[in-house]
Amino acid sequence: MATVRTRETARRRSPRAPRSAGEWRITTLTGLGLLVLLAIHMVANHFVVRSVGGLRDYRQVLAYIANPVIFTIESLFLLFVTVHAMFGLRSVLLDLDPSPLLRRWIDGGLAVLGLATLAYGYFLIGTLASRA
Amino acid sequence: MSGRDLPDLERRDDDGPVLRKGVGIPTSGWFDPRGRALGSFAFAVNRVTGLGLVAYLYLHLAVLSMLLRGESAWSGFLRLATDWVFLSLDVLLIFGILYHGLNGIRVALVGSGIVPDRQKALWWALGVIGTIALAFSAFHIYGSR
Amino acid sequence: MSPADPVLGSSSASRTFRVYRYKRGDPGWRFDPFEVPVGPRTTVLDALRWIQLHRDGTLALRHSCFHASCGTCGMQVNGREVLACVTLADPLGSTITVEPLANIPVLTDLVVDMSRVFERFPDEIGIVRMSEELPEASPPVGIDAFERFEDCIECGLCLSACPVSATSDAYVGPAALAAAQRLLEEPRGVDPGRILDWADDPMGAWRCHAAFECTEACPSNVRPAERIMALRGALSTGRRPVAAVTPR
Repeated sequence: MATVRTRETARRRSPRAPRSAGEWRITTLTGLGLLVLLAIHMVANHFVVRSVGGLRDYRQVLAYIANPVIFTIESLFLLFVTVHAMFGLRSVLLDLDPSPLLRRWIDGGLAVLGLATLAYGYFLIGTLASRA
Repeated sequence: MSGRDLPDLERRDDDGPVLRKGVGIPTSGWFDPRGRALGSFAFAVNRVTGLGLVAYLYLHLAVLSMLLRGESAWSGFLRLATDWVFLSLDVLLIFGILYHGLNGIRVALVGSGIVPDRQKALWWALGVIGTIALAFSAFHIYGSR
Repeated sequence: MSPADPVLGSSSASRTFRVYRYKRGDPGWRFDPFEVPVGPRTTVLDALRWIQLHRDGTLALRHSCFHASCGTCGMQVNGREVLACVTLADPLGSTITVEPLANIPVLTDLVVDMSRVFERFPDEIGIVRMSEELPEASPPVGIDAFERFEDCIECGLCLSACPVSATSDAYVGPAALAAAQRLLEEPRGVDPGRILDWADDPMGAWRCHAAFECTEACPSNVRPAERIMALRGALSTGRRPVAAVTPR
């Protein structure tokens, strides 16, 4: 059925945004990385030590994080989980149709939050590793 | 009929109401199960577990900060963390991780154009794997007490 | 009450239809209840037209072909997007709630502003259906330049069913994205790069979260969700999709 239509393009609140395939790739790749890193983290922290819940006591935590292999894995895990979380949050917030200005605030805010998370996380594990 | 104007085809300024799924709050439309199928359920739970895990990330960092205060502070937390309620929260956490991770595999495959017509079968297959893993984890965690 | 009707049935098989009502200038919307005789072959459209004829002539709704090929009678019935002309009322329970499509502004009663659906399609999409190329139609020369997405009847059910559209009017929606993917399968002179560029937008293909409600709702076997995923595959890898999305 032929119809008369206005030839407007889809109404978008913003001018064309940069290509977004890269964000999908980052979210997907960090997610796939987390399948391995998170599995290692959960097994190591809940299923190895013979204690209630598999939880480590204070000295065991220090000994654990001082291991260079573990330190590297946990550092990578922190990076991957923070990036994945920030991109995931961004995706949820974009579903709410923010204005172009608000979208810039969201991007900036999540970048700051992510960097702050990484900074504190690395401070935390670095301090604990140094105490071992 | 001459001189009669054609209908105004320009955008109306007085839009009528717009029905939305949900219960009046816009974001509730993501989670409204009425009339929806498996894919929506998968999306809704993925969203809830994702947001839950983000909240847990910061809760976890806050808890780990107790380690900076020394052995007695951490030991005090461990006494709390070995309680039935906390162990149950651990199992809930593992459910969230398993669901988000395994459904994430499905979303990564389907969302990249790989086997999109098998999305329901993928959900069920990964669900079986997740259920087994969760059962094993819960047995281990509760059994450790 | 009229004698038993072969389509509508006898008065003893009546159902309560709760029908969404809104007229311009009203302070808000409401539901009007109507007792409608329903038989085993009564469709929701039959019932609504019965209401127009016997109970309330001001009830506004759109319909045309009566056989699910025009997409005009799309609406929500008991919370599910359907074409009213092919939805039987009998299995729907004693109370049947009829509402206009979601996520599209209501003009009046069950009529929504379909221009909000049509405007989302990429500019490269033509406006004439394949059926108009039949010899009997005597199409003008060059009409094939306007062929568009053959299966899609532009009913808007997918947009109504999409959970993302519950919070985002800027999202172009399943029908437009599926049409874009169809253009990649068979460009017909359209530059695929322009289509990929159009779709590669936060409010384009990347707003979809794979709920697949559009495919569930589609009455024409378009499978918009699968097409969106194929489009995303093309965007992820920087190539046109080679394999077509085949009907079930």
